Amino acid sequence: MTFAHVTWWHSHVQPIIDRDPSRADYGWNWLLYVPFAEVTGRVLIRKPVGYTIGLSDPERDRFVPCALVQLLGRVPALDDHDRESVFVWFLSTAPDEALTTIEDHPIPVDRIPRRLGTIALDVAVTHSLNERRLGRTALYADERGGEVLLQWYHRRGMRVLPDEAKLPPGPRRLLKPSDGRYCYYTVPAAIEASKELDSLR
Amino acid sequence: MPTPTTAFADAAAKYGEVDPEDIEAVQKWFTEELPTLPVDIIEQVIRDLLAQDGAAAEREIIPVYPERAPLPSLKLSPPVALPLLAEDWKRLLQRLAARLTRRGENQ
Repeated sequence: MTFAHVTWWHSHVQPIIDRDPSRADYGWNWLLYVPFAEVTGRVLIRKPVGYTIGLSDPERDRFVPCALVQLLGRVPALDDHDRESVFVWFLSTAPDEALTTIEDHPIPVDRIPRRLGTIALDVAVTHSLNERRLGRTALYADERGGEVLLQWYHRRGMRVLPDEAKLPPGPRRLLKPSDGRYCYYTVPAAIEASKELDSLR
Repeated sequence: MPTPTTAFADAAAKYGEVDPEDIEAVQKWFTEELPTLPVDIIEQVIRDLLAQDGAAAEREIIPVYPERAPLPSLKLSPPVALPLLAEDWKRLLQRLAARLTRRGENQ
């Protein structure tokens, strides 16, 4: 993820997202989140990294961001506090309208990439595998997404941390304790989820 | 619901004397000024913001979207290497487990 991606996103995609208050990423500001995640990750030694999933157009030298995902590469795993995991801090996908209305570069409806959320989650799992976290990946399902979002992560193979479970040591244990919306991949579940998209790699 | 934008604006006002109603100045402070501050102040900012994770905004800040930012070029979008497939990882882990087992048997 580069600053150019985030700036374009906040210029073109976020205004369209912000027309729909029911979205979990309604009102987000990546121009704040990315520098904040960077500095937080650096100070707390959490190895922050951001990825952009997009369409590459070599002929016109253009790259169309379709999803953004901001990760922390080194946090204690939710199910085993002595192991390390990746944490998905922010994840957002572009609505179809944002991709079909790009000035001078609209994406035809039949070429809009599908399963962007699944792909963005797969990026997190892949980062975990590549960073020797064995696929362990965790996230907090935004309250605004309600039960639908929680079920979506569950269908991707994630487990939900019980609301009485204790979080690993760190600011979140105190400031954002478990409330039944933390989700995580065990190692076998992460491998299984990763295999699902192997045919597209 | 992440930390509300108002909390970011208030943090920029508190630690950087930035006008909290000027969201572009707040964004600039987080990008350019915050990383240069002493670690103890950064930690305080982090604590302030994480404490409001999931909180409702106390007031409304009208978002300002950059006007007509250009689509990124490929030069500004360096690709990452293609990852190993899950099957590759499975094989790798199986080999590692087998090697550790053999080592254990030989000792």
